[in-house]
Amino acid sequence: MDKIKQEIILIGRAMLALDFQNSHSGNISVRAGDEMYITKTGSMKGHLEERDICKPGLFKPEYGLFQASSETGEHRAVLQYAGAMIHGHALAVVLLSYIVDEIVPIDAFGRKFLQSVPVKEYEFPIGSKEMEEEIPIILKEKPVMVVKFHGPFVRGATLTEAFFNLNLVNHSAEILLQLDHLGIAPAKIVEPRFPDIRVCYSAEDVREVTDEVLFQQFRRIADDVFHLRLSPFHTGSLSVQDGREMLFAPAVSVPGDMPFAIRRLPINRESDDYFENLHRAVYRHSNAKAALFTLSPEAMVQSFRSLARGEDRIIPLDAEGGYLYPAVPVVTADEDPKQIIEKAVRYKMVAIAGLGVLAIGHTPGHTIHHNSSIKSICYFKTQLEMMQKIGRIADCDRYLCEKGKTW
Amino acid sequence: MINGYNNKVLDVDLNSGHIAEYGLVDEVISRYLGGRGLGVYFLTKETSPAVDPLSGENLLVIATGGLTGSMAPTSGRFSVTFKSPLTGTITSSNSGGFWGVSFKRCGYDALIIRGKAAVPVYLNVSDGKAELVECPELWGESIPSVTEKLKGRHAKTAKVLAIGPAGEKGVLFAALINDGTRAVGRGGAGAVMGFKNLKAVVADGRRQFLPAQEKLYQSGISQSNKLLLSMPVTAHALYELGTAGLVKLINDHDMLPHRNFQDVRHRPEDVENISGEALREQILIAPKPCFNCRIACGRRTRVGGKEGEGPEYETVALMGSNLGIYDIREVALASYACNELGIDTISFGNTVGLAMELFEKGIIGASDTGGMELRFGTRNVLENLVGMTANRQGFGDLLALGARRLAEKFAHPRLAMVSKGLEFPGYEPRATTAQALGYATSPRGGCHLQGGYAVTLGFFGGSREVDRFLIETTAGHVVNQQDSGCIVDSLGLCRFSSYAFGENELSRTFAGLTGVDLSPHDFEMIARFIQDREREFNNAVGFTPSDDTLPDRFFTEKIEIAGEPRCLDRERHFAPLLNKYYEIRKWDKNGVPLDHG
Repeated sequence: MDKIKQEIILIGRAMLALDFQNSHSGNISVRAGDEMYITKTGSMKGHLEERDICKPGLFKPEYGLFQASSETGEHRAVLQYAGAMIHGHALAVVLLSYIVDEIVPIDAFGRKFLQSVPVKEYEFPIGSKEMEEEIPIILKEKPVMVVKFHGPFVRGATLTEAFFNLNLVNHSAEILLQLDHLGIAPAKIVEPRFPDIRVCYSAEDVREVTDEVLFQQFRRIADDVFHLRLSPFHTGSLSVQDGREMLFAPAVSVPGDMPFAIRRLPINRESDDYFENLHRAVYRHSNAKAALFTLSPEAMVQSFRSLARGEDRIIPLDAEGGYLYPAVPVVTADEDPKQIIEKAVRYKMVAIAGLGVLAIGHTPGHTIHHNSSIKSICYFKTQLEMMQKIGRIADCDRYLCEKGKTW
Repeated sequence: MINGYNNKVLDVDLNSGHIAEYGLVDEVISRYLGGRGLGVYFLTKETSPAVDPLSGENLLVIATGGLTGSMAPTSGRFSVTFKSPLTGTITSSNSGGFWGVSFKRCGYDALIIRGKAAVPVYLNVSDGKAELVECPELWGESIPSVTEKLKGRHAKTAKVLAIGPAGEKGVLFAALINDGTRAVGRGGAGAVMGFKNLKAVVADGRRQFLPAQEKLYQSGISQSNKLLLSMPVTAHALYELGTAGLVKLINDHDMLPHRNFQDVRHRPEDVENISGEALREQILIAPKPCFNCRIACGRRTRVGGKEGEGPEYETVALMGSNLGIYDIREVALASYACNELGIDTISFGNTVGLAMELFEKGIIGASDTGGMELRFGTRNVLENLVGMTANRQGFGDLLALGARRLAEKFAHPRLAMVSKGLEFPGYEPRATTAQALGYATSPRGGCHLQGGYAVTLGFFGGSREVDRFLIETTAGHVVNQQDSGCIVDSLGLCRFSSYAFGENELSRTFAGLTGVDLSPHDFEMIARFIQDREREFNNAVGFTPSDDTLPDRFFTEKIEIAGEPRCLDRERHFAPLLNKYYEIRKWDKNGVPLDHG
């Protein structure tokens, strides 16, 4: 099958897994030379087949137009200058669009890669002429824009990048939305100083590892990170120590059927990549054999909440969380890496406010246990606080793990 | 009196020259809506199924739809209902353009034409009055010529529905042509009108209709327009490429007919040459819309010094790929000739395809064809064949009988690609189960439209898409499509509107215009009722379940489709599918409707 069609099929499947649109909505397009590929209108994005991807013509109309998405006009105009475009109905973004005219992310990734996202209202917000004219102009300047009450339109140089942007806007929107529900205005949070972060997109598998068993183990963790929504697509990182080297997956949130990279890096030689160095620090300052960094929005919300309230830890409210992790420390990214690692050693993981959660352990499986647990812990905390706000629960603190206060 | 209708019928008896008007009762309107439904009502009420189609007793019922001429998008259509001389079935054919709107604005919802005039006449209808005018001087004139002359005689604003020489000479698939180029194509309405010595109907109406409930009306129309503009087929594709834009898509699905439906193998470069893209690049002057239509699928085209309209997809498929002629210019010229002389391009192309197969198989020879080497791919004969057929000259006199009679004449009836005698349009039924069932069950015979245009379920269905090789549950989808199409035909809209909006929007618009609140379910019941009456008529003519079928070729000859050799399985698939279709329609095993309304 045509490689581009295959790529679109995989992204469609990934979008369904993340609930970025209902079974049939949304659309995905890619430019290849003078050709344009786009999903068929009303096709099931999670189960695309080759015939569900058509070519409506990039510069002049072609017969693929008969089946093409109802938003083909916008896609065609954007693909004049971009490599790919996606439109979805990511729930958090749609919901947030009811209450803001601009999404200004406060998390590190959103800040770095999106800066701010315009939210525009249209009289007819589906496939209208007005949208067809305006969206391409906006996306020329911004990687993402949102049509109010409808959903985000994102572009990228590649389809992977476009999907990354879609993930990011939803991630940032989820954080803002939950903080809003908790009554914490972004302005109340002293903005942490974020390191300079970057992402690397893998168009093909990179296997700087000879052992297939290890590669498959990494893949399983990566697939879980993606499907459990522990981290937006192509974010997060996983490493395992191998003597003086570490095997490092720089983008760990990747579904099992998409390209995946594992690199072999020296532990003692620093690079200019923040996350590489963070993993190196784990092996320099601890006996851990594996480390996983993820950024679930649930954990981000609670880390921001802690910052806003001047607290230094997240204390679980649920039984399983309290049993396994009486407290999870919250730090800021500008803290000394050595101290961050020390806290991770003591508490199994550490939340870096606005950036993510670093978990350490003996094996990759061990680390994802921690990262998935912090997601649940933070989910319960946020939801229970909301329930308290509407009077369904009298006092959340009643459920606090007592040990956690002094742990 | 129902708002939005004239509640009046014009009844013209050509035997006596008497013209009558009478009222249309509310109950008939709410039960049959208009267009196809109203045509079925009058034809079944006033003629015997046993009537000879080419006799004064056969009627031509020309009816506008419940929404014809309204602000509803694509509302320019009208229907013509008659007993077909080609098939013997009850047949409703419809057309767009502007004639239907002008006729409705003359103050009538339907025109019944009965009898036969002693000399050629035309009917002139304007606001509130009608007259028959003798016109022996127009007999023999082509469509453009008669259209021009009658407009000159009456008013530039007048709209003309006319027959050409093909209708006059009884070509069994002669068409009525309105507005110069829009065809009431299928089933031979032109032959019926020609037999009646009626050359044309001129309409020049001005009446306007105010909605009963303005807000509701506007909301229905506004929603319909928004949906129309948001669907790529209706917003862009048909406007940019016309219906011929479907050629490559249909070919991708191995449905584009070839060599009288013997296979679907075409070279990509050949298909390119007859595609909508080629039409656009080589001969397009401009898109041409019908009344109140933003889709604008019509094509104003030019080949050499000649201008005309089209060709449409069906014309390209039947007169192009099916004949092995891969030249958009040659197909366009033949299509112009069909429009000028008044011929249905589908039946013509299909019948020529049969003739070519007969010739290649040695069943007929040059002595039968007047010396012509009628092989697939033979160039530069098509336009000439149109003229010979319309004028019934030489071999054209045999082509004028249509595929079934031509095949029977040469003792090879199985080679006619027809159902109930109507020639198939441009979709290979082995490549789509739904369309196969549609051809077999369409009340007027092998037709994509009244078969439910089920072929599109396989690639335009959106979230309603149905796999084209699906057997189980397909009958239900076909019934739904046919029902939906019947409502569109009866309301006077274009089938293409269905790609964007449906019964929900139509229900609002209709209620807004008329004040009659019909739910989508009511529409479905009306559609079932109309089709039951059509079925009863056909049953009384003598059609039986054995006629609800396809030519043997599709059951016995496997061809490569979607990478596999395929044909339809009569016993295992088709028969159960047909039984299920009867069951859903509440027909007994003999195809007799059990619910008599």
